[in-house]
Amino acid sequence: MTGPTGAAPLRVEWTRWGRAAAPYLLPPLIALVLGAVIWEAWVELNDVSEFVLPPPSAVAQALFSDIGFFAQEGLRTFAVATAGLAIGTGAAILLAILMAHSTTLERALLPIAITVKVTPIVALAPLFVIWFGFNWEPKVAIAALITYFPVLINGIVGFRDVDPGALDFLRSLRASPREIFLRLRWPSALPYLFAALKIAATLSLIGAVVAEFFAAGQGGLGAVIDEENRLVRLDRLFAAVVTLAVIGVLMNVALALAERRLLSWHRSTWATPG
Amino acid sequence: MAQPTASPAPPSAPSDAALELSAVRLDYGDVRALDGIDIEVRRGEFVVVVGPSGCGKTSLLRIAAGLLPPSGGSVRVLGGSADAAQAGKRLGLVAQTPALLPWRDVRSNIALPESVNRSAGGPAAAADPEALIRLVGLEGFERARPHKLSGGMQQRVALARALVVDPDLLLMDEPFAALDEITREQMRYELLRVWSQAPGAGATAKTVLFVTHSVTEAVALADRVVVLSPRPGRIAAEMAIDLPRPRRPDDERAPAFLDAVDRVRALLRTAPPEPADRVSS
Ligand SMILES: Nc1ncnc2c1ncn2[C@@H]1O[C@H](COP(=O)(O)OP(=O)(O)O)[C@@H](O)[C@H]1O
Ligand SMILES: [Mg+2]
Repeated sequence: MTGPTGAAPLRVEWTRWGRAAAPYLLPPLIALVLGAVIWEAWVELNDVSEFVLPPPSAVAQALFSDIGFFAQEGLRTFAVATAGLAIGTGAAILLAILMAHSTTLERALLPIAITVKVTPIVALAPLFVIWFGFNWEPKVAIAALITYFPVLINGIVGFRDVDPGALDFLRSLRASPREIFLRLRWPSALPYLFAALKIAATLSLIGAVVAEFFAAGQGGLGAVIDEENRLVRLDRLFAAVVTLAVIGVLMNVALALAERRLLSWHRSTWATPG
Repeated sequence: MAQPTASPAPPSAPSDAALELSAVRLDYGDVRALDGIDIEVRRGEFVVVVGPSGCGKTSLLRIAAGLLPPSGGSVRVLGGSADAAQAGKRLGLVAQTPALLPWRDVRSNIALPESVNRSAGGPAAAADPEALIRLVGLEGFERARPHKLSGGMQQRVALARALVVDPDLLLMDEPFAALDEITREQMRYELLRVWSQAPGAGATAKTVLFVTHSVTEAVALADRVVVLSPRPGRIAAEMAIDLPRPRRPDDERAPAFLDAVDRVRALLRTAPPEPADRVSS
């Protein structure tokens, strides 16, 4: 395209993006609105106190009257979560590659991985603050720790679940282990890794929020929730939760779009349930 | 490229055998799968091993391809070790499932062998992928992903992928068993056509070791049929198929064809079921 216009292709891009994203955005939006209506009616009809459960209208009011603040704190949490997700996923993929190639390594390391996994994150969080200081490091570490497990487990299965016929074919040509990994194991594992990433993305937000509880004074939605809980400002507390939910949904939408692009060959991206 | 005269044999291999299995034995744990396998496939010969399910056909083929070490006996492939044949990209493998890479389109699947183990087959040894696509009748589908293709078309891709390195030995494991009867019959004669026209085939066609449980398929394809007994697989009999070539689908109704089928069936029936398939001495 060498046309002099800048706006037209951009608009085309946007509508195309919108059309691609709509199937992911519309259903949750509709469900959300429906839920809010029921919630509002319930609070209204039962005359529930705003110190017990604020109506969605009050939450929306709290959110939009201070939207800059919530966006900023949300961005902080998002940054911690994505950094943790990147580190946790990267480490898990490396470990999974090693463990998929060696049952001995798998037997040696999996119990450790499980031990770390079953240790409650709330028990580790204060320790992490002691070990890593009060900055972003302990938060990212916690987010990473909470995300690695699903990626590790799916990765081990994914790197192993290759078509045995394709493996035989590559071996009959004396393909090196590296070539077999790049040409066969890595692409075969992608559907598994994406499934794990979607779980891990949500977990990374939970990890970031939990970490922010403990590293108080550093901001982020976790700190906001903690603070508003103390002040019993439930409308603002819920506004923070809504912000968190929006971030979570957006992360999943982004992953779903990436998945559709990268895995168009895989049946999981064509199947229409029903 | 295509030499009308016989290609010069490597100096170390004066014999004209493309594949020699002698006294090959295979045990899975304490279960004996193959025993006393002696098979010699001459260059240019089309040999079909026929036997019931579970008699060790896949195992036999994987041993020949150097993918499975035998528990005993010796294997010589193209005058050397199976490893050397692999390293030189001189083998073409086609399995029961097409085993294509689903993220690659047809052209890129056929190009796969060229992209691995580059130290072996230089471009001089390889066949032209475009010519192969035409040879197996896939023009127009070069950009299609495997899941858009029928089972028969997928097997054509697998065949082209095996042929692209211009292999000296084609190893085929029931490649048409998963296809419907009509397609299967058609593919038999496609294979024979490709076999006689494949690049490098020249005057002497490629060497093929083909395993199947279908007697009709065996007779239709083979120069020689090797009959395996049920587990553990042993060679029960061998039979030359002297039907003239080129063979056509209609030939399957000819008395000579039906007679050959009956004789192979009889050999399969008399192949004694081995009472003890445990490894015991
Ligand atoms: N990896 C394996 N481990 C144990 N037994 C096996 C394995 N592969 C095959 N077998 C057994 O060896 C025998 C021969 O198998 P196979 O070579 O696949 O036969 P075919 O291809 O003729 O059906 C069968 O009884 C099968 O159960
Ligand atoms: Mg088999």
